[in-house]
Amino acid sequence: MAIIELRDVTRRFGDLTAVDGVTLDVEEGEIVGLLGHNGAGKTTLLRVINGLLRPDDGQVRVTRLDPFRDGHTVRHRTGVLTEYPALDAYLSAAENLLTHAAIHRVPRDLARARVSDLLDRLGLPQRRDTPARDLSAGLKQRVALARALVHDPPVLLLDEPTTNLDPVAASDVRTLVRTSATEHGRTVLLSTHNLAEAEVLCDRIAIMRQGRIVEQGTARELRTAAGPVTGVSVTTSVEGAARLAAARNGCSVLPVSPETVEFQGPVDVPKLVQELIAHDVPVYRVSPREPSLEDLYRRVHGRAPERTATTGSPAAHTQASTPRSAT
Amino acid sequence: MRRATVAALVRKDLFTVLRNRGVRLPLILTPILVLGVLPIGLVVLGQFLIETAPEALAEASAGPLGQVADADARQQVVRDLPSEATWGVFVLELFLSPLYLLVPLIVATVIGADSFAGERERGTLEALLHTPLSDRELLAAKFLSAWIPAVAVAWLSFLGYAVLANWLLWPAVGALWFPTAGWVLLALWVAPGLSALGMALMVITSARVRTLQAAHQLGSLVVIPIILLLVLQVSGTYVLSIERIAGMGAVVWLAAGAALMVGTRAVRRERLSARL
Repeated sequence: MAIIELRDVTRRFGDLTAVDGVTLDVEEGEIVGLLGHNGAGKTTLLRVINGLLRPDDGQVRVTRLDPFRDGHTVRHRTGVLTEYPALDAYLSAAENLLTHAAIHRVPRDLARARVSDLLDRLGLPQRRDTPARDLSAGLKQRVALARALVHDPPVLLLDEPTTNLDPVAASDVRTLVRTSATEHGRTVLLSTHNLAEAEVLCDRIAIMRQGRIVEQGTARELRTAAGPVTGVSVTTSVEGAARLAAARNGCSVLPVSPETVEFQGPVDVPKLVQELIAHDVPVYRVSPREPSLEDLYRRVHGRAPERTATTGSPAAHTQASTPRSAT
Repeated sequence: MRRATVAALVRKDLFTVLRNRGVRLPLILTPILVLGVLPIGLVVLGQFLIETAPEALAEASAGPLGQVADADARQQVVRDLPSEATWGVFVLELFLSPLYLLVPLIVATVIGADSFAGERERGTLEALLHTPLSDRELLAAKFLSAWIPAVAVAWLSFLGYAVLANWLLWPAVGALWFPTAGWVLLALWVAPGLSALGMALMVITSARVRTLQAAHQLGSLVVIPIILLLVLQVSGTYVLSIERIAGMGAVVWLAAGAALMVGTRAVRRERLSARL
C-alpha cells in the first residue's frame, strides 16, 4: 500500500515553479530518496507532503489523507527533520524532545522513556541536559532527528539527514533510518544530494531537477538507465601499469590506483588483453566498469561524467600514470 | 483547542524568555528605569530645586498642577495632601502614569517580535509548523507566552512602584497614599489590555516580516500613542481621571480583540510556510 501518493503535484511561488508535475508513490516500509541539487524542489515537496503548502495542481495523499485538509492527523503521523537542525537554543536536548513529545500528546512517562532511549541510540546520553546552543552542528542534527522520532511516527520525512555529520555520526544516522524502516516498518522519504548515501540507504531513488522527477527506480535500475558498460578496469603490476601507455589500444586510460587502470569508452576486451600481453604487461584481473549512479546523475543534470571531463586526453592520462606507477 | 498542547508551547517560550539574556534584559531594565530611576530622579531633583530656590516653589505650586485645566482633575490629584507633597504627587501620580503603561507594552512587543520573526530567523518556526499544532493553538500559545510575562512584569512593577512612591513621599505625607484608585485601575484593567493589544499587533507584524530586526523596528511604533498621552497629561490637556482610565481600558481591550481577530488571519500555516 502506498503511504505517500503524489500525482502530478505542482507548486508555484509567483513565476517560479518549485515543484513541477511530480508523480511518486512511497510504499509502506520503503525508504525513498529524493536526489537533487539545492533548489531542485526537494524541500518544497516535503512541505507539500506534510500539508504546510497547498499544491497548485495535482493530488497528494499521505496515509490516504489529504495533508492540507487533514493536516492535523497527517502531521501526527509524520516525523520531520528539517533541512537545518533548528532546535530551541535555550532548551536542553531533552527539553527540546519533551516539548515536541508534549505537542504530539505523548504521555509524559512514555515521552521520558522514549527521550532517554533515543538519546542513547544516537550516542547522546551525556548531552541530555546540554543547552542546544552549546551542541555542535552534528549533535544538533542528531537531536533534531530524535525529535522527529519522539512521537513514534509511521512516516518519516527527512530533509538532508546527514548534512553536517562526521562520517561516524552519519553512519549512525543511516543505521537508525534503516532500522526505522526494517524493524519499525516506518515509511521514509528523505532528500539528499549525497549520491553514496542515496545508493546505500534507499530502496528507490527519485532524481529531481528543476522541480521535476527526471528518473526514478532502484539504484540498480538507475545504473542500468545510465547506459551500457563504459569500459574495463585492469589490475596489473606497478611496472605493467607504467607500460600501458604503449598498449592503450585507442582508449582513454585512467589510473585509479598504482596497480589498477581503467580503459574508458567502448573496449574490445579480448583484443585489449592480447595487446597487453604482447607488450609484456601482466594482467591479473579484467572487470567491466559499470555505470554509476553518479554517471546518471550528471547526465540528467546535463554534465559529462567527471572522470572524462577532468582528466583530459588519453595521452595526459598515461603521462600522469607513468611516474605514479614507477614509484 | 487542546490546552496541554498550548501549554507545552507556552512553557517552551517562557523558558526561552527567562534564559535568553537579549529578551530578559528589557524585561528587567524597562521597569527599573521607568518606575525606579526616573521617579527617584524627578522627585529628588524637584525637591532639591524647590528647597534651594524658594521662588521655584511658588512656581511649582502654581506650575504643574496649575496647568491642569480641569478643576476636578486637579482636585483628584492634590486631594487633601500637604502642599510640600504637591511636586512629588504630580510626578508619581500624574506624570508617570502614562509611562507606567510603557512597561507592559514594551515587554509584550519585545517578546511578541520574537514570536514568529525570531522563530523564523532561528529556523525553529518550520519545525513547529510541521507539528500537529493548529493555527489557533499556535496563535494562542504565542499570545500567552508574551501576555503572561508582560502582565506579570506590569503587576510586579506596580507593587514595587507603590512601595517606592510611599517611601519617597513619606516625609511629606507621613502616611500611605499610594496606590490611588486610578493607578489600581491602570494596573488591573488597562495594563493587561495594553499587553494584549501590543502582543496582538506584534504577532501580526512578526508574522509578516522576515527578520527580528524588522519586527522590532515596527514594534517600536506602538509606544507613540503612549508618548502622546504623556504629552497631553503633562500639558494638562487630558488628565487621566478614573472615568477616563476605565474608558481607555475598554477601548484598549476592544482594540486588542480586533487585533487578535486580524491576527488569526495573519497566522495561517501556509502563509507562514511560504515565507520560510
